[in-house]
Amino acid sequence: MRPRVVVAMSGGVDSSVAALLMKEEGYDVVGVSLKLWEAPEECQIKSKTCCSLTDVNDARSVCDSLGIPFYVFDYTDHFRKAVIDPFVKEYHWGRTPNPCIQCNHDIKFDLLLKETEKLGAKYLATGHHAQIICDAQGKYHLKKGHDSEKDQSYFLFGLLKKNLNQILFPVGTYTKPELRKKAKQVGLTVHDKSESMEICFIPSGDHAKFIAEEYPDLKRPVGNFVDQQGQVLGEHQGIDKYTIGQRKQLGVSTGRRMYVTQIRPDTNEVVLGDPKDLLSTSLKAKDFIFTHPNEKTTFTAKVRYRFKEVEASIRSYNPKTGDVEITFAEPVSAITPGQAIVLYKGDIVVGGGWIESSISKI
Amino acid sequence: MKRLYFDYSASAPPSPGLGAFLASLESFKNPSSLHQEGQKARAFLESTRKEMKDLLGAKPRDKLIFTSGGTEANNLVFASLWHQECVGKKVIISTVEHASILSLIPVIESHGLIPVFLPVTANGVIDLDYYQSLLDDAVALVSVMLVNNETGFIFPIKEMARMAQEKNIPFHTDATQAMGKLVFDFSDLCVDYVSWSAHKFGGLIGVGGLLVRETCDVIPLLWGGPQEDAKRAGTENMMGIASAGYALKNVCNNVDSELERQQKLREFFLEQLAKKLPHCLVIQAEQNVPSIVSLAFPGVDGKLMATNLDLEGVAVSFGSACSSGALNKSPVLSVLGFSDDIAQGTIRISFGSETTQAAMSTLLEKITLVYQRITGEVS
Repeated sequence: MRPRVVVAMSGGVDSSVAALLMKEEGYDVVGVSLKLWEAPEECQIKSKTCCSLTDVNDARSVCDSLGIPFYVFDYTDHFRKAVIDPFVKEYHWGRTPNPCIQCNHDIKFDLLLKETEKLGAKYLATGHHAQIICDAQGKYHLKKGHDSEKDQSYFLFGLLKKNLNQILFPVGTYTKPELRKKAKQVGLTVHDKSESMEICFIPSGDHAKFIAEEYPDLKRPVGNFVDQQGQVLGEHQGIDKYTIGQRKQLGVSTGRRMYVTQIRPDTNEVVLGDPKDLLSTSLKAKDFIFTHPNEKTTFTAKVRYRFKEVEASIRSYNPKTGDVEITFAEPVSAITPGQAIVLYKGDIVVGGGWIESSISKI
Repeated sequence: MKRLYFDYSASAPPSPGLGAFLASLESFKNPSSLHQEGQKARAFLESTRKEMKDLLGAKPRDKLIFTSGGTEANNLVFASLWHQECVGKKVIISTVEHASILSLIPVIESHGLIPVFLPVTANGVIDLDYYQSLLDDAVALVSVMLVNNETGFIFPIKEMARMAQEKNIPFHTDATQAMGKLVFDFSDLCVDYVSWSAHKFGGLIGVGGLLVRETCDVIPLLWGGPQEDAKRAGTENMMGIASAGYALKNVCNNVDSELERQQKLREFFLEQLAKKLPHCLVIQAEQNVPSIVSLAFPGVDGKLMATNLDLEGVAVSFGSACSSGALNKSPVLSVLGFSDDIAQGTIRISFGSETTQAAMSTLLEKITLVYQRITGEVS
């Protein structure tokens, strides 16, 4: 039998087929679901997310039909500390966090990866749409998923710091329809299961409500909407309710379409403006990881998940501090502090870090 | 790979010959029916009840109410407190009771009763002076388990029940983990209620019962027909009850010699363990059932120990599982005063009639192997 592999199972079609593929390849497959947060009872019944009881039961039944052992690991405490607490603090400081990246970095590919080794497994596999390839020099690279619609490499840049040779993405070479078809062929009941779109621990999708209920001390008070010149336009519901580029649910009428262009935690102001006020040609990021040998060449960049890559170059980078400044070949709209910037060379992820601020607005 | 089973306390293997015995029985008809088929079933039911009562040391007028298991039996005792006369009274329970009792605390409070907790020390001691000081007219019920499910601690139920009896306080003991693990005699124990569950001693899953002293009574949880002396409505689980009677007979047949054998297995295992893994801590009381071994590996994740052992073909238990099956540290170990380090690093090994010394040796080897895998240490 081939080596042992732990497959992180969410109960969805991607990770289920990942387990199936590993099994077909002859690995000694162990399914593990992570309990990451305490689902309120109403969510357990509605089951919209990756952590609900139904999803765990789906994963369990997939493992049962594949004939592989299945365990549930309770990471609730770790997840709260590593993902939910920072998530709330980011909003508190006027930023827009990306908890999925944090979870990949600190939970799935850190804690679970370590426990995978302790289970005697050589590999950890997940259902992410991404690929890991090995070049002629024996160096491992993180590559985009084959299905460009589903590519999740943006969420995985943190892996550039990890041992990529311990990680497998079995579904990364498939398209989503192919995966659904494969799942259906072998009779996996999850083949037509819908995808989770919301942040798993906020099934309602209303993060401001979540913060108000779960972290009342960190809830931001109401304050002023101001225009680019500082004129008060109205009252906002607390800066943690807003994100850069937001247009809906602002509740001010100025006679024209207004967008959130800036959030000022110090003065508790949310700045509104026109689309042109959202444009910038460069940004500052922190904790930047960079693996490409040539800093001076050009790359393409994503500044959020659903984003058409733009050409970008590194203006300055300090590997010791992780501070980086990146310039774009064309103006980019709604650069959002708290989101990640990920650099690609072709299909290969070569760098990534957390956006601090946009600079040089036009 | 032949798997080794060390989780008898979760569910023991079926009593030897149980399958053949059940197959030999005629299919049961409804024991409440008037016809002869029903009468036959009724006769079987009652003769099983009598046999079991005899084996458990109950007197002819004591009652044995069959239930769906230990959880229902425990609930049945407590549900009898939900009436006006008990409002404002106290219920004394130990801090290490089974979830089917501990989770009743908010319900107890909602019915106007006051739960009073009896602490248990890390080595299984209940302060009997303190306990005695709690016993007064305002106590509606004492409920303390006979054997703790996670540690195997045996509590001094006879002594405690006597103290309660002197004050005319009803005493319930959850004996789910005790049947077959110690010599049990209802009359000698001086208790008023005893819960048990058949699959812990070789019967089928889904059947248990409550022994009720002649002078005591319960208020039904389930209402409907007059079954079980009108204390538990619903057609009796005949196959389950048959299995319970059969398994209890088997267990009682050679309980003394089997317990002696189990004690030797325990001593053998712990002796070898101390040599191989000297860091390992055995959580035990002076009075402990031999077949439950609670092992703590300080600083080592018990979830990983149990999962690893499972992958190595050895079934043991770790902590408590929530509805998703997620494993977490045992609340029992925490209330016993153990640090998280130990509570999170404790696994439970429970064995029984089919466990051999060779199996214990293999278990030890596997524990050593996975301990080294997790810690990277070589002993």
